[in-house]
Amino acid sequence: MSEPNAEKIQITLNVNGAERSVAVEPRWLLSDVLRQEFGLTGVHIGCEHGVCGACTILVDGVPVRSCLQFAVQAEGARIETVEALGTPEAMDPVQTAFWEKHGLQCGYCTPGMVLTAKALLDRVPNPTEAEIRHALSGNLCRCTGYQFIVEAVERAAELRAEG
Amino acid sequence: MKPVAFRYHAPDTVQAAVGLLEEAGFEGKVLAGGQSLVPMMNFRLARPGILVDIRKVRGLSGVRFESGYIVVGALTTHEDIFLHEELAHRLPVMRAAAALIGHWGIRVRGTIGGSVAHADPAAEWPAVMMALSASALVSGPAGEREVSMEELVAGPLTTTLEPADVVTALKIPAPTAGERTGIYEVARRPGDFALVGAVAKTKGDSVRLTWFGLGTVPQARESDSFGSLSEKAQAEQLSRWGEELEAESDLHASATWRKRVAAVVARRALSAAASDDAGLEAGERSGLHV
Repeated sequence: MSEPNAEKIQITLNVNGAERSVAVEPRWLLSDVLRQEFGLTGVHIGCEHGVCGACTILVDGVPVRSCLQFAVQAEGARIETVEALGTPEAMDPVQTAFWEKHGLQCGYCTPGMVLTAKALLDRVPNPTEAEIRHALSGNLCRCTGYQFIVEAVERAAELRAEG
Repeated sequence: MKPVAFRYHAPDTVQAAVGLLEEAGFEGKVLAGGQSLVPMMNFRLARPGILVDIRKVRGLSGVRFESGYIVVGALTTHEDIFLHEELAHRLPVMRAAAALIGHWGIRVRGTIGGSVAHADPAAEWPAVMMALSASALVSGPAGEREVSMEELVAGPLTTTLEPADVVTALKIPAPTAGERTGIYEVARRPGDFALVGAVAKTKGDSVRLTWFGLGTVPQARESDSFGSLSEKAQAEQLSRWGEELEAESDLHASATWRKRVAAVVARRALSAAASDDAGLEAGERSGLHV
């Protein structure tokens, strides 16, 4: 994605708990830099115009579309991607709940769904179904019909309460 | 789906931003929340050569209550506005309108100043600001000036702002006693752009309606005696107004449909104005207290 002679700007940001520094062209989207410079391919790129929510990440704890900001704007930011959540052996409660409740099929929307759900539960530990649907309304899923995703978030709230 | 190359500046004062924009001329563009500009750049519908990011400019965010006015900083996000308790108390339509905009990930980045300067015909803020007789505070090479919303919005995605102008705030007259405002819109999904929307402002028998999402700019109609009319006469008046409005056809709805729905949306916006929350609960909102 690099252009010859393009001006680059050095940025430092916290990515999944580690301070990282990288030189970026101003036009590079944060979504592309996370995938291509840091290898965080859990940042799924769908529509690249803010409609689908697949590229959702947490910036300073808040879910945002990483395709709608330039990496250069993330100077000093704290970024969390799905890679920060858990491992196959020790999954995050939100991931466990999506697995238990079949809250995914093809998996393309899943990182965005999981991160949005985590941000919701960090603020509202025991959300109503309506609150879950409001929070997830910006994340499109073309497989599940959403019902199992909503159930997964309800289950995640239970798992987190059980600690 | 990637933007073309551009030069990037992130000044920390309005004066510096205006200076950079002056130098950039027609190549320059202000970047605020980026939730409309970045998609347009990704599609290469917008190809600014120089981007002036104003997110680091101090003092452009937040709500101030001044004598007779409410001043909302240009960088105040839709989510900030939605969550602002005192603003919701003094002017409930601000929360009700913010609740209709985009989704969580959009709302936390998108700004009121950006929305107004972008002038999307289906956007809530230009219509709400027009309905509230607000003006934009604009900084440019010649200093600061106040531009009424009618003067600012020139057409679809078009304003009368000069290339080196920066919108710094929206100045809204504080509501007078008995004045009520409400909003209602129809969209395909909560958070999508409105197919048809209306803001109703009432005081006694007088009514002013400002529609958005139909034509190229928000459109208003008013009557001093609307409240004294019979229910039937009111419905007829709303249908007549709907017929009169300029409306466009697109993939989602025909102009004829929009004109008919304009009357229904207006009636619901009037109910919203009569309610205590300006239509928040009655609306198909995407906003959530989190």
